[in-house]
Amino acid sequence: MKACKWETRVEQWFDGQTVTGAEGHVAQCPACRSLVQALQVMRHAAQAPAPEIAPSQFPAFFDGIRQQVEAPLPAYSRVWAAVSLGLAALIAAGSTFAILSGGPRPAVAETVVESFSTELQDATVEYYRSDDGTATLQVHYAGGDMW
Amino acid sequence: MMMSALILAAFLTAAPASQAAADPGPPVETMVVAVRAVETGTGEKHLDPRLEPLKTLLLRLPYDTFEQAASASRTVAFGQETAFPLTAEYTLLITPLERDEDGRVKLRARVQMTSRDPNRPPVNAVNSVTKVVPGDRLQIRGLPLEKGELVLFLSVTPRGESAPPNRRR
Repeated sequence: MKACKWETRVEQWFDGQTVTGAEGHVAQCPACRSLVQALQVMRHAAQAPAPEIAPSQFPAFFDGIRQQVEAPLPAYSRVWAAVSLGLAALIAAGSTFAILSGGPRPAVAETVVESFSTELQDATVEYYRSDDGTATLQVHYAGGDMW
Repeated sequence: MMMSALILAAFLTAAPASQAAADPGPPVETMVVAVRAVETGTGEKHLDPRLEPLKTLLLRLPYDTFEQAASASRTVAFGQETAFPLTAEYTLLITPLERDEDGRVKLRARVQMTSRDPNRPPVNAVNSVTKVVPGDRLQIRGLPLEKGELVLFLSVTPRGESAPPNRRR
């Protein structure tokens, strides 16, 4: 609700329009005088220059940004970040293994002869796998009377 | 923190393996079959019926007659050497040494040969160390016999465990 019926015309006059009798009314009307003072404060604020960052302030300015960016996250955020990172690493490792190994397959240990020898003269021992994969030690005897 | 979790997980995963290495577990059931493979020159193949399960393996050998010379099954404790007499000339000596992280039984197998000459000491015709998958088979062949050779088949299974179904008997 308007404090004075002249308010609109006073605002027009304040903006530079020709309004007959407006200046005289403002001089007599306390409400319109207050309105003009408020409009003057707003105009002054709008015309004030924006604050600038001087070159000497740039290091501190960027330091502030860096501190914000590098600020430690709350503890729970770090836990979830670690979990996410771990899962991502597992997925990546599993995928790599699956690709390189041709897919998952059961790891089956084999029967393996680690060492073998013979004390028989004129004999040697050979280690091989037979056609069906049986680990085999075979003595090769050159002959002679062993009994 | 993440690294600590990974190290802990690796430790927990590795723990059973190291325990298995420290404690070899129960004795192993050791089965041995010895086959006398000879060439008689009859031109006909003869296979001892008791060796039927080994038919495929044996009939590949350059002999025409296969007879079972010995068969035995015994429980052998880790670190204990046990003798399996095979023939008058040969004795198999088995010593289970340990179980590895894959469940294999590491064992020493010696085939000792006794000469007919009492002045000759016994010698190791074969001295071997093998990691045997439970239920799997180790074959030792070429042990000289008159007109042929002695072929051994050896299998071990930790007592209380059954051999995997995919393993050969």
